[in-house]
Amino acid sequence: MTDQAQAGDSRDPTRERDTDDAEQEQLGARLKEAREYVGLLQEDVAGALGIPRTSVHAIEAGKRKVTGLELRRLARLYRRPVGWLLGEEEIELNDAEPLFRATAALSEEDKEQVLRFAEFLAAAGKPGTAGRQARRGAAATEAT
Amino acid sequence: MNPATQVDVFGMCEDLGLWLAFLPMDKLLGAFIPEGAGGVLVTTQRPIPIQRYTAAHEIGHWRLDHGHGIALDGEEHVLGATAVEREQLAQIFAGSLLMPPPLVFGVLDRLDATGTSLDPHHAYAVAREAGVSYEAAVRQLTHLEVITADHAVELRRHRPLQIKADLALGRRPVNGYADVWPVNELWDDMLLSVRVEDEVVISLPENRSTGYRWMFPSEHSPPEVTTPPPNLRTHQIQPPDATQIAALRDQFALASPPDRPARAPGVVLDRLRTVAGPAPRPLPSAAGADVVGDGYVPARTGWLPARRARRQRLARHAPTPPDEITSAPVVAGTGRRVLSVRFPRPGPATLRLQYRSPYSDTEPASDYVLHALVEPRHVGFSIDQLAEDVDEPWIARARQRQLERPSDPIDDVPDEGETPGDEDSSV
Repeated sequence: MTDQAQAGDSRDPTRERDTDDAEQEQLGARLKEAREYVGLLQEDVAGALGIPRTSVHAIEAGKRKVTGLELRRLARLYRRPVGWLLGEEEIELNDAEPLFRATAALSEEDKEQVLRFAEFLAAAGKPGTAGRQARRGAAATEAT
Repeated sequence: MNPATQVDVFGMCEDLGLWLAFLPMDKLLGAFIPEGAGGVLVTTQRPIPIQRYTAAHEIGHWRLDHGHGIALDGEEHVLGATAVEREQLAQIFAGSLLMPPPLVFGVLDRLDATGTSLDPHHAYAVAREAGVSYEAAVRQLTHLEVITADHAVELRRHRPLQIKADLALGRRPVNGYADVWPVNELWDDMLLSVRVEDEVVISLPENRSTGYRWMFPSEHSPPEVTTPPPNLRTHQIQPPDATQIAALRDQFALASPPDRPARAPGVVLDRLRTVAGPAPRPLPSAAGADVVGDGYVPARTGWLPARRARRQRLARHAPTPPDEITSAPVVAGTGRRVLSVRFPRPGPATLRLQYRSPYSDTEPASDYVLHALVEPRHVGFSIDQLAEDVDEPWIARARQRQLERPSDPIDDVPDEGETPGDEDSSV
């Protein structure tokens, strides 16, 4: 039997579980990374999804499955494409070349921050202004 | 926009549809990145006035040189003398945005400061009110032709830290970058907008001969039945051994009678503890604020300046500003109590002080209330920007959390104590 045939044999239940676990862990790690980048707490996310905070923790540790609906809401919340969370696509930068050239002279830490922020911007779309308007409304009420 | 108050430069980024993020950076003060909807990146490693100036500088890049692409700004680009025209334009933009003429002239009018009489304290007041650094304020005063270039050189010789220490009765602020806000009895029941770690120096008239003092309500409690502190008790239970006693006796050349060995060393130990122990006199605590300084200025500085100022104003028939309280201070003093307070946590805080006798339960003779709105340090992304839909319940909660615990954005410890009952309630 060839190696290829062996790899294609997914009937082995333990092997299947192993790869599933690994993928789930990877998804959890990516979700955690995305959450930390935007500075949200597990409890904020729990409130948004309507699940307990322990579940958010379990998802990020790869111990709980994520439903499709949850994944979509998480993607919207973190401003990342679903494909990136699943590890299937990388974020494309429009201006990648001049960006890399410009950051070449920076310290490693700063370079990393700039490139990650550029990636975030490429995926994020427009920021919402709803919060700002609400805040201004509150300030106006206070002033009167 | 109210021209007399600080410009909300961070809110402006959101209005312009730019992403705004505060992230730790090593050498960069900020960056403008034209990717996607465009974003402004500001370092968290600098004091807030520099962060504000940096954000204004990056907005300048977005507004002035669209199409020039990415801007990575180190110290020399934002604050220093750069030869690049693009950076110079952004600097001028930032200065004009944060220190518009109405704001600068408003502050100078209130202080009665004109070109030649303008001293470092006035320049610092402009910087503080505009939320920028002292150096930036001096530069803008020169641009607005309030002062000459020579005058600016003279002002730049003064260190802002020394000016702040002057305002706090010679005590250096706990955080050198924080601003110092001197307030007096005219600020009773007024709202003061400050930042986390800023110091508010409250100066109130106090007459020491009456025995009355300004106190926080928490300070006034019925005198407790004196119980010795626990460490004192351990000393009494375990008297020092003979060699220690001998050593101490030698050291202090104490001639104590040999038949009373236990007493004299006890006294010496007490004295040693008071001398060596770093524990300073505990400062009074106030709701949500730390008291970092407590001083008293005797002499004629009591209530006279306020009265003199009022007389001068009347003599000149100058119109009284409507927002100024003109009634005479309730308390006349032989001097001034000066309390320095800093707010470690963001959010609204109310400080109450009572002028009362610490030794009796009689009603306080006067009250003093100061409301402070403490602005947080920004870390990470602006939560408002991430929120698209205000109706979603998590947004309000997240915003509240940002106000309460801004320095603690990542929380990974699972709450083991969570019961299934909690799960039901949160679903």
